[in-house]
Amino acid sequence: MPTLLMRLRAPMMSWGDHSQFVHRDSRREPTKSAVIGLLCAALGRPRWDPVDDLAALKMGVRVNKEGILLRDYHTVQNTMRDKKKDNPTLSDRYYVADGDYLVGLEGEAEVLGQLDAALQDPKWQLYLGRKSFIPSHPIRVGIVEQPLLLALQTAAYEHRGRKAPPFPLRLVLEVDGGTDTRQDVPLDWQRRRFGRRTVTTTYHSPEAACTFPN
Amino acid sequence: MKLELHLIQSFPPANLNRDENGMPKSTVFGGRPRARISSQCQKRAVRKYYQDYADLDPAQFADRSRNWLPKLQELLIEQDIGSEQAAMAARLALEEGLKLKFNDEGKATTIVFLGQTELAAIAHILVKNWDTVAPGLTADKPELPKEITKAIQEALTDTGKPGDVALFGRMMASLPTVNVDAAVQIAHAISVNTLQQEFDFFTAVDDLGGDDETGADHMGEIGYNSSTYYRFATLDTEQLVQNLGSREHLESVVKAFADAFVQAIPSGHQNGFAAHTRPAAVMAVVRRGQPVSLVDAFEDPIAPKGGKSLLENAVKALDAHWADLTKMYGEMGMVYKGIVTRSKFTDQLDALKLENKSSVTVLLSEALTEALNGQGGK
Repeated sequence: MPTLLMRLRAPMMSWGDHSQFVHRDSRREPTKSAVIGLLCAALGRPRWDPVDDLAALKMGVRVNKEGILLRDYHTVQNTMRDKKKDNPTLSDRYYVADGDYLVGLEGEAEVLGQLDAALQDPKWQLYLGRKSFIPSHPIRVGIVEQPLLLALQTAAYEHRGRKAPPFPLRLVLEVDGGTDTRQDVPLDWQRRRFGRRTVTTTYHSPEAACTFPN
Repeated sequence: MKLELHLIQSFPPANLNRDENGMPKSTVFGGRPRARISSQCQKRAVRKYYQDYADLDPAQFADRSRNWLPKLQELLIEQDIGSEQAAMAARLALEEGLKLKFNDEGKATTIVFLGQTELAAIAHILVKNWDTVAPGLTADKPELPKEITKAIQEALTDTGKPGDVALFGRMMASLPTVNVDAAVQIAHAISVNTLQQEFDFFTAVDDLGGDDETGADHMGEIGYNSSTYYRFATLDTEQLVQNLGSREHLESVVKAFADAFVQAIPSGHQNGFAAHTRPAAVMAVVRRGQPVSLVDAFEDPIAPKGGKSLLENAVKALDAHWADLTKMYGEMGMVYKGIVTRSKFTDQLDALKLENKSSVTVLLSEALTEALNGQGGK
């Protein structure tokens, strides 16, 4: 089956999958709920519409560049939990700085074609985890006639910088019956219900197209 | 249509946006520490700026407040409704219509982002249907007729939103149907140069102290840095038209936002630093499809180099990155691009040389025309 490739890159991104209230975590790579949510925004599909067709796509991530997990200190005044006046609620919002990801979704050609078209002319604004985290690179890469793993392995890798590329690259792939469980499969946006999937991590050294500045 | 604004702006020593230790916020980009101004900090500065300066109908402003009960009561009293009945009707309208809760002092338990026009619409519904509303107020357990509650909720969901709410969106946990998806995205501003965090050690001397008091009476430290930022925002005109409900205030709201994003500066520690600058370069892009931040131009930090200043090199990097991106991906859905820089930096432009405009006013006016052109109402 073919694979849709997407590049997710921005100075700041956030991939929470078990965040609640004032502690907002982030994973080290995009969650399935974040990627499907992004595609729903591109399609202009509202929160109350079913999402099972997209949740059924098999997802894999190649970490082109490992980001750094950092924390943004955030204050909100006059919230519902605020008992005393002028007593701001503090929240710790973690985010990935400096990351760069290649995301693959494997599925039926027709579905992928629609998604690819939507990414070229998204209906609603696209962002990487939070509204202010705006992509610094076009998300759309295109569709390749390769299964997920091969697609992620053979996709071009550009390297900039004076140092050698940090190979091998981490690949996080969705598999059946694995031991690493992620609860990030969207079932119902409005009720915030998420199903489970399992992933496996492998490593791969691509042939880099290196550009070394003088 | 998406209107993108890309700015390069340097600030002298400043602490515009602080973390819990009082230090200026920072991040890491391109493997180097950078100064940062959060999106929420810039948004507040933008709102405050255009409320003071923009040529915008005050009805387009909204307030974040817990004091809506007395405001609504006032509007009812102005329509010749007795104060006791007005108080009861106002409370029921906000409790049942907006699902707000109030404390003993009549303040809402949560802060609500509400426009003047929205409050007026609620008052209008109550007054127009006063014959059906009034009997319910004197019952043992006062209540509003169901159809009035529904009409109030519909007034907040079906009619156009005031500009503030339409631009920045609204989240109300108690009544998700009145939520509004923001039309504006503002990126965290990130410094194009490597961060150099500094501490100012200061002492305070007692002016009225005697001659024998030679030491300091207070000592402290304050964090600051001087940085040159890449600032980026994008506005979705389709979303804005949908939020506003019509084209009537579209142009004035977009103009107020664009002007304010260029001019507004966060107020943090400004009495101590007075870091009031203007952007050295302003670029505007209008396109269909996905907006793209140009922040990757500064992945390698910019420094003064080769006899050129930091700002000169930053403008050059922006121009080169623009050329790179358009070579790789084409000018995806683009309908307008333009840039204005301080005149000493125009030499740095190559790819964007022909897009150089005479002033920010001309640039924004051209960009707005393109962004709003053919932007039909819904």
